[in-house]
Amino acid sequence: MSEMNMAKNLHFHFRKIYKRHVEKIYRFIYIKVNSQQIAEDLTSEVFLRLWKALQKENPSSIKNPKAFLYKTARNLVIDHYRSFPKRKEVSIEEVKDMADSSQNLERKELINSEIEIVQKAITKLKNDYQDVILWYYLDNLTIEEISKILGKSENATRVIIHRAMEKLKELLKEV
Amino acid sequence: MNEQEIIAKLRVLEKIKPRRDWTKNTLREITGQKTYLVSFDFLKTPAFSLAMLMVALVALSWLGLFNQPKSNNFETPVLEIAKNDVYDYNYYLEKASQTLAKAESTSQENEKLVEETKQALKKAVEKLPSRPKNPQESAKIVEKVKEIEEKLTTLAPEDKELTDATKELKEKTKEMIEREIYRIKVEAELAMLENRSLTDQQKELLEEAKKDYNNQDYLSALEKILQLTNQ
Repeated sequence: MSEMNMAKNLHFHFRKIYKRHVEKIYRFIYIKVNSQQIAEDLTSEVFLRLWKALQKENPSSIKNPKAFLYKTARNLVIDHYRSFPKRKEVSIEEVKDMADSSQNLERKELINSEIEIVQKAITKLKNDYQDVILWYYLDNLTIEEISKILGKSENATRVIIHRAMEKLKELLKEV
Repeated sequence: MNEQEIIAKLRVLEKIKPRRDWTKNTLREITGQKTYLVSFDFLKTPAFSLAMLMVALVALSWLGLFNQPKSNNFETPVLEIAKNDVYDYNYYLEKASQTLAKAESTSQENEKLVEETKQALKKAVEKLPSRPKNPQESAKIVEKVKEIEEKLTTLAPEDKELTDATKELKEKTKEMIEREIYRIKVEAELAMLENRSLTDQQKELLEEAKKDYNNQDYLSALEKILQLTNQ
């Protein structure tokens, strides 16, 4: 394969992954950092790392790009909190702005109040629990995929998800 | 709150999305290429060229068919333009409003203007959208109808046909707004129910509600959802 064709394939492959995952990775990071600016920076960094990894190796060498992206996102969020331990307050207004501005007011209010409740509860969970809840229930990752990202057995992953859900139930009662 | 309800609530977080321009720019910055979220490779295919040709032909014939003046010239009598009915409800609402304003300024009952207004109102009723594009459009329609109703009190308020036409326009607008509210409610409820575990009977009701929703019978859909959640 010519160099030009290889470069073309690389772009095509990356674009496909990017289009498929960018929203989910952004959302995952955003919920954890509660800041649009930081979420954008970290999401860019996640994809930049994937792009560099693909450039170094053959595109097919990263067998599971989804796992690569979530793992990188998770690590970057952890690094972020190591560098800036003081957590930013939850900005519900920012989340509200995310909702489609063309929506009817009544519907917007309904959605915003739901977002507020769930977001408050999730941010109170410990990191691992936040991750599995978001991956399993929101992003529909399988137990197998989550276990690979966490580096744990499938059974252990199931237990973590179960405990995380129990904790979330408790927290939602409090809200 | 049970697990299913929590899962449904979690789904609300799907509303969090990155800015579209940021998404595009980031892709371009990373790859260093001018890239698009949609592949434009199809532009080079023969099928695309053929499709373009067809579009061009349709556009040309359309221009040929409708080459009569289509400006906002509200002086054009409604009865005349109705023959080549290419106008939307906006035109007719504006037309009704303008003829009423004209009648107001001349301070006398003008038979021709009354007739023009009646026709415009009837046409506006016919052409009201079943689903406005957005809340702003709904608000604009409501405002215009209110304006027309107010003006009517000064022009031939005793003219039954004219009053009835205005009443009908008001009713239709009200129905349209109500339908929009129901639609939005049903959409929100259906999204919430999507991840709840349901009994067979509830599933059946949910399916019926979806059917009603697809048939744009939002009130029936809402009734089914209410039945379902009360079970």
